[in-house]
Amino acid sequence: MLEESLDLIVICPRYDDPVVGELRRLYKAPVWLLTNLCHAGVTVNIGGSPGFDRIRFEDRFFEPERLGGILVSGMVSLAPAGYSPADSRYLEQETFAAWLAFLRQAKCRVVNRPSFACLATGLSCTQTRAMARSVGIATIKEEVHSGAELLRRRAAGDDVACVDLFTQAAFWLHGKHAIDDQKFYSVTEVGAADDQLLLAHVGGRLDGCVITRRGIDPMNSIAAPTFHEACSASLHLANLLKIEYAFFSFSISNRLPEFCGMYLHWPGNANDRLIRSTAEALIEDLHEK
Amino acid sequence: MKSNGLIIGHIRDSTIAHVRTVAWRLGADVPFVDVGEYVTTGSITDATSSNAVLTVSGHDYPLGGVSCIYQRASIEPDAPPWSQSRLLALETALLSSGSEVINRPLTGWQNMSKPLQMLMLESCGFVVPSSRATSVPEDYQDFRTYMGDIIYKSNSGQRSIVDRVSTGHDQRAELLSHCPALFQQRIVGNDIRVHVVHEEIFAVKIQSDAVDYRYYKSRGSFAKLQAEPLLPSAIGKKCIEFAAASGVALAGFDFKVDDEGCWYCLEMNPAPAFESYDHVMNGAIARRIVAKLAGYEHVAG
Repeated sequence: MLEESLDLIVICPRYDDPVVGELRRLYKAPVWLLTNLCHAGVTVNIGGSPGFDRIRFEDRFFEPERLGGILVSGMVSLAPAGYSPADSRYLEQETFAAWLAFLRQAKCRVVNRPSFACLATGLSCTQTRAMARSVGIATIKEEVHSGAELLRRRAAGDDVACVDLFTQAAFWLHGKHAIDDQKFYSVTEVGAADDQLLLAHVGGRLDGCVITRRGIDPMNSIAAPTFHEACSASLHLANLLKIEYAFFSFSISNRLPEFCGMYLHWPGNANDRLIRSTAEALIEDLHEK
Repeated sequence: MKSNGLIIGHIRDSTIAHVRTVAWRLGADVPFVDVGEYVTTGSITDATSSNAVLTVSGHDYPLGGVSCIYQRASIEPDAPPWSQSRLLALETALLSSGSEVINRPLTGWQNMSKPLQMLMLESCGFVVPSSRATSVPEDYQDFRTYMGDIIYKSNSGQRSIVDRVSTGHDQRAELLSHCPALFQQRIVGNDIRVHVVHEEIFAVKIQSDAVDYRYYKSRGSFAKLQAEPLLPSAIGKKCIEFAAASGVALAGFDFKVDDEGCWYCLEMNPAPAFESYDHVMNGAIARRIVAKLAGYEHVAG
């Protein structure tokens, strides 16, 4: 059992993540937020090297053994201004690489320890869906098209959900998003009006809500078999991808839920109840393990 | 019925050129897709399925249902966004492909962080050198004082020139707070490169007076490569096990062997450029890959 007086470090890509905000409000010890790994020093020892692993941040040192835990919902390594593009890239990769080792070895509870699919390789939603399909989970239909093809479809009045494979920016075809005719895009058959089930996964526990055109409904507003199928798929994926904290979204327009995507941080929709229950689940998880 | 394999890579990549040459000499009919041509004029259909099809110069190349695919379709960070988006589509197709891929993209991902990979190698029973990755100048000084003779290298998969730390470096330790580096006890001895192709092992010994033998021309005077028939079986077994556990069929392990015969594992490269080692092995590594591509068990040397 961990002492609640121990500090928590949250590594996340945004200051304004509402789950992290709620976590800071509820957690009974200081919660330190790190949104850019380049803002902290890091030391990790391998092969019997003497000394302690530690990080230096906000003018103080933190050793994993003395932390309540580390929560990771995204690792951003962004070089300060003033470096050439090549030097920035080198600095960012070196920092990222050192942190991967630190988090992998940290002798404290780490929620989302780096693994193949978790944080390290930056799997895209398209690649995550491909992995889901490979283990038999139903996903939304998806194809890769050139920007030239998308421009033709836009001119014909089509509307589909698109993802820029390079930037990972998602957009609706009928909107004003600039399309590069040379680029390749992922196109999914999910409609703007489709209902979605959003499930928050924390250490094997699930909570969620249903997002509809009318607003946000509770999970029990959908048919039990659909709900159970989505829960089973989420647990399977979390286990396959070795992810402890994530959000899974499903299209529930058909009887069988279809996996749409996974997000390691707050996906930007849903309600206050889910924010609070997710923050509470994270605190419970940190205390239990 | 599976058709013959496929080679996907850059036409000027010397490793790809080596494998294609060996295939040609053996009379193996293995088609080649030039990544540069795919990116500029090609297309891909069903990229997110296990049966994607690449179309390049009017030819269709199915990625599912072939005996094996050997690929080195790396994404260059300086390439324009449209080119990278096309390579990412190919990467997704190779991830999902129903065929065997040597190596499937992102497998061996641990190599993006040498300290992380060393932790994993150590947990699989390899001996790794005492090392410290740090961006904290005091922690560097502490390691330097304790270990004495140390070397430095990059933490990430970015290629860096490995060299000894000198007093000149000590005076610049404060700069570490801008960017971490990896420091390691210096192991004096020969380098051994071990390639694993499925369950076969190919070892090459490298003798050099340079700390980093790859740069012997500028930082030493010689590097002599020769086949190493005396690989300890326990080391070979661990290499095969680690590569298999990492999901890679082709891997290049780097070792340093000290005067007392201790084998220190430095890293496992999941996309090895093996042609210079293969020359002293008479093409044995490439022949093994070509055999897999052509659907043979083995091909004669």
